[in-house]
Amino acid sequence: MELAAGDRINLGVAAIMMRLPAVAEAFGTVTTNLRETGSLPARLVELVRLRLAFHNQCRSCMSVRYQRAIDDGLTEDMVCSLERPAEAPGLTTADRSALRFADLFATDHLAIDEAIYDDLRQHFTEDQLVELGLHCAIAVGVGRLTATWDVIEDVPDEFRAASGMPVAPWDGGVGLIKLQILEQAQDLPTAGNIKAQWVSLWTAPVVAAVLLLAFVAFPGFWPPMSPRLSADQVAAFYGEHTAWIRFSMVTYNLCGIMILPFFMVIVVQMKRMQTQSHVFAYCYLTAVVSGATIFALSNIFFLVAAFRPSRNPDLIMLLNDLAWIVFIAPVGMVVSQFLLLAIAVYYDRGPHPVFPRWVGHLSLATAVAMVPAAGAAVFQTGPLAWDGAVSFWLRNGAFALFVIVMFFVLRNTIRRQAIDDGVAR
Amino acid sequence: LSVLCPDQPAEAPGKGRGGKPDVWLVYWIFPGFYAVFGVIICLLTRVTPPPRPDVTAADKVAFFTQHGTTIQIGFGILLILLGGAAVTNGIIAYHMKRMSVGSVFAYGYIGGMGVGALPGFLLITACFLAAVYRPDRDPELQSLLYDLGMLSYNGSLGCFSAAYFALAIAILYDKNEIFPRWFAYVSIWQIITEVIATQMFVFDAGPFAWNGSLAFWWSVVVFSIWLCALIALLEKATAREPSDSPPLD
Repeated sequence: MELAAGDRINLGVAAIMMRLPAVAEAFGTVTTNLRETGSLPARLVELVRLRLAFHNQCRSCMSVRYQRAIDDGLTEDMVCSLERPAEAPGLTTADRSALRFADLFATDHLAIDEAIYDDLRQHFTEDQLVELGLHCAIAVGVGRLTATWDVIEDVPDEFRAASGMPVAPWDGGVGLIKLQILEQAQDLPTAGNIKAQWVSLWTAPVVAAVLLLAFVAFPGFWPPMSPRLSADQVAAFYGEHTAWIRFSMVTYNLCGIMILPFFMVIVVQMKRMQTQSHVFAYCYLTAVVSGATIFALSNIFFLVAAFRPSRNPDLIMLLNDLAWIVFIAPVGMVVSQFLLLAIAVYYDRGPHPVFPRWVGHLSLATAVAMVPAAGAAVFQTGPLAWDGAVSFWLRNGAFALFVIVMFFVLRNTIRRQAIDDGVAR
Repeated sequence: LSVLCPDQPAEAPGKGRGGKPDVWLVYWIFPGFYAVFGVIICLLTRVTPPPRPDVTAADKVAFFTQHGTTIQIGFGILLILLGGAAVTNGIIAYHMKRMSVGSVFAYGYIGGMGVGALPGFLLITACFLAAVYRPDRDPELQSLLYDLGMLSYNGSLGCFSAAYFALAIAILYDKNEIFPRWFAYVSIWQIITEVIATQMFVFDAGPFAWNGSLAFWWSVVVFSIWLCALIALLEKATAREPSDSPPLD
């Protein structure tokens, strides 16, 4: 069945090539000779061909499995393991070496140096190296040509183009509207991972709504309390608005840190970035934790001030100062968090980046927008004071905007991971 | 191959030195952050070496008045750069995860250090900036901010001890030789200095006070050795990591 489909696709390609009959015939001779006189295992040649077909996004090439390779032991498990050849248990070191060569050949051929060839020489003869090189050359060149000819009449449905997303031989399909974990994949650990991320992601809008409510409810935010108020005015404010201050700040206390699962989804996604060591992810995790700890302190100061508004006004003012300074000014942890995410996105240079590059730009811009708020610990008037346009509105607005945009980015990212992991379609 | 591309340079730059580019980037932030941190605490904000604990409220007000501007500059910069601490913790956790002992100690290190950022230097930053923010505050309150800041900064002991403990044990059990064994013993000495420093909550003068020869200066010596050794060892650990090794789990 697969063979028949594959033959029809090959015939389709050949039919187009037959516009130059002499060339088509000679080309057929080359490929036939390469196949029949070569000494590389058919299984390996097929793995290399499929990996290159993926790089080429050649749908017809990906849908085909050559019978010769199946006879030689090729299984669909092996094809699936092509997603991450470096980690696949079913592949031999020779397979991995050849696949690495193929990856570089398709994506960064100038990086193929003597060290790469020396590595191949541990597994293959010089003749086989020439053979492997020719297979790659034909697969990349002709594969890309075939992709542009778009021979898809005989391509199985799941390999047909559905959206701009890349298709892979290890994919079931693409372009879903909502995340639906497949019945047969429910018990896989990968499905558990996807579900956990999905739940954590969806805590964000709930928590954000609660925090927005607390934000609106705090009388000291409309407008933000001026640092120029006297001690008596500050004490009077806490005396008048005790109930709303308590409601708002208890809500922050209880729910503020519940935004962490959302950022942990980002950590998990950073750890999926293939072309980096994940050191950024661990730095990011530490920054998130320390930043959240600092945030958690500020509402305690607000609440202690509101606990006994009749206290000496100087003490109320001190608590209010500490509350505002700790709330607005210590931006360093959050800034480094955004910078680390930006750098990680820029270093994610593989063929399938986890996040689009503009997420790096957004993260960088958010970091820059939040930096000036450190001035809130120094200035009592102007845009940098804690009630200023920059320290209060730009800082908090940039953070909120990032969370909102990132929610939608992560939603798409998790969906794509679910498809890549084969637990959704 | 060389016939087909005769222009290929004989040796690409940077070859011969191992390690991954992203780990190198983070590595360089480590000494960079501590250099800036050193300038801030020693030259600008004057919290190291520490001002005296055994002075009157008026003296403390005078301290804040005298150093007000540099405290605002120094701690203002630190508010922006304090994330550098997260990066320096992250790279150590990263190398700990490369050890043969699994991830538990690395996560313990992240936990201890992540907690330590707040009492370890954010609180003194907030206290000193709040004191300088309103220099005309009641001297008793300025005095409270002075004590709270200094005791929190010098007296946050457990979070760092927990992290040093995780690091020391990880090194001793590790078979991948990420860090040498002697560095585990330096880390244990760090814990001992933290234990001695507990006495700063009891004494306001003498060797155990927060500016004392034992509670402070001895700790500074051990910490400096620890930090310099760590910078050198991190460089080695980063350089020895094969650049094509797979990302960590």
